[in-house]
Amino acid sequence: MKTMTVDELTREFDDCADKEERLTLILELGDELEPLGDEHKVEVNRVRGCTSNVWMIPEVSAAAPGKLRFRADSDSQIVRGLIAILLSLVNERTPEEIAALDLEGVFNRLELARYISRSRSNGLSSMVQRVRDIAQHCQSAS
Amino acid sequence: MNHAAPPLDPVKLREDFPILSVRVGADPARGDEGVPLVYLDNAATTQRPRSVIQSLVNVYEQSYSNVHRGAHWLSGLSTAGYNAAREKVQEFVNAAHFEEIIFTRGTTEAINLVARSWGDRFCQAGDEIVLTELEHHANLVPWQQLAERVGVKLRTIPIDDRCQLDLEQFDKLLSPRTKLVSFTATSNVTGTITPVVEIIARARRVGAVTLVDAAQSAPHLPTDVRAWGADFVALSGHKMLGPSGIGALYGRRELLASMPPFLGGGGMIDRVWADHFTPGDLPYRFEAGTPAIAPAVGLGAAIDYLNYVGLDAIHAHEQLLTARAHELLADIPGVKIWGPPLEHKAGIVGFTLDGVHPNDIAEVLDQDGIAVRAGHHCAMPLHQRLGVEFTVRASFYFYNTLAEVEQFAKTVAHAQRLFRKR
Repeated sequence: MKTMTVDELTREFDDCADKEERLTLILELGDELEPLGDEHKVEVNRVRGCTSNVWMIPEVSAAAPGKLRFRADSDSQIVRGLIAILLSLVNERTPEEIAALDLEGVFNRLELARYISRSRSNGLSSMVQRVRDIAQHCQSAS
Repeated sequence: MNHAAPPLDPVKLREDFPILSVRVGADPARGDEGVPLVYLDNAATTQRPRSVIQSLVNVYEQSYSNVHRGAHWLSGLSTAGYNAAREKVQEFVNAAHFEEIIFTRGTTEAINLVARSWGDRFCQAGDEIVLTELEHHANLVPWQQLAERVGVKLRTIPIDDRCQLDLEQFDKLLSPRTKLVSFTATSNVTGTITPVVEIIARARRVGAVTLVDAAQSAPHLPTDVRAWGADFVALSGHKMLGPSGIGALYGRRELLASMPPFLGGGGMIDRVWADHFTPGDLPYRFEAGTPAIAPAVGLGAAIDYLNYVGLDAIHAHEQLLTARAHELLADIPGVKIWGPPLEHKAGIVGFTLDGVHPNDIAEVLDQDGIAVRAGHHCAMPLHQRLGVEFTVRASFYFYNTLAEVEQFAKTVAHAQRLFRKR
């Protein structure tokens, strides 16, 4: 999956004419997400607080040691799209960079809350929390 | 129920429900007018007519005080209103006696009351409680808790491939050990209408007590505790136009009289000394603490409105909507409806779409202003039996129109096309 800058993401969303196109965009982003193998879809990797199943695993970046790379998957196609957005923002960054990211600010700019239901927003918050917890854990461990 | 009731006019009745005119996603700051609400989540909770909302306002503006206790005029007025609501529930379920109606917070509390009070007093290790595969957690977990406390064994009437109870298997489960048969009158997932009278008759043959979970049936079909021969019947106000936080338990008088209080506190006692108490009379013995006074009055107003529309007409209209939904959904590739044939079914359409997460379907429907529920609907064992984790559920009421059902089906078809290629 390609990494996108906030500006690129915002532009893609701004280019959508209506809710329908935004949903299609979210689904297309999800299509590019690399699926997790079944061996990773286990309880320990499950993100609690999502109404659909979400599994997330952190890895150290192969390209740049010290940077993190998350992989995640869901049984919901819309959630896969949200995961793709989140991961494009946090992947290939150091724990410190992740901690400093204003992810909620980006989601606000994309006006995600207008296009996804509240329970989905809550699920997204749970994923963000998981990413931050892992980043913080890496910071305190290093 | 098959005799022809005069058709009701949903468009006219909708005018009594202010919330049905809200626009979903409206955002005036952006000039977004939103879309009309299509409310198809009635099995979770119905909406309220103006008369019910107004009844709450009237209580608080004109007659509110605590009940039973005060010697003053206002308390007398409040008590009269509260008990008038109880009489309405009594009449609605055709109970013989006023004191057979206990106000509870809803069906869940009503069933817990029976499990705690009757269950702890009368059940012991080796006794059996028969439930069904259709049950909501509210009629399952309290019995599992009772099993943990006293060691009763739970048995389950299975469903067949058409989501109907297998009564032959039921007969095999019944024995002198059967202490209670507790079952739903209408499934909240499949919409299955169960043969209440038949189940109770068979249960009584072995001397079992019966409890009917009428949460999903009371808003749509007549409740007749005497014709049913039921010992306990539980219902919820919020599913039948009433306020949330109020419901009722019907209990046969002799049984209730033999049961110890559920919750202890004010209002439920006769006398209290430093080290013991004597319980008060029925029905107050089971209503400890200040009750939900205004919501009870609201439930009475809801019953008035249901009587005005007529349950026969309501059921006939819902049959019409459900038949249309089935017809339209059947045309959509990959849709599977989980439920019995139409003639055994209430206005609940539980379905899945091949390869698409139920949450995703609900999300697309939501964007179109259509409120449905996706999930396990508090019936996880039933979903395990069906072999699916979640279902989407559209549930209708008398204020829904054929046009809304058609819009719903059209959006499901759209969702199918949207997700299909992935």
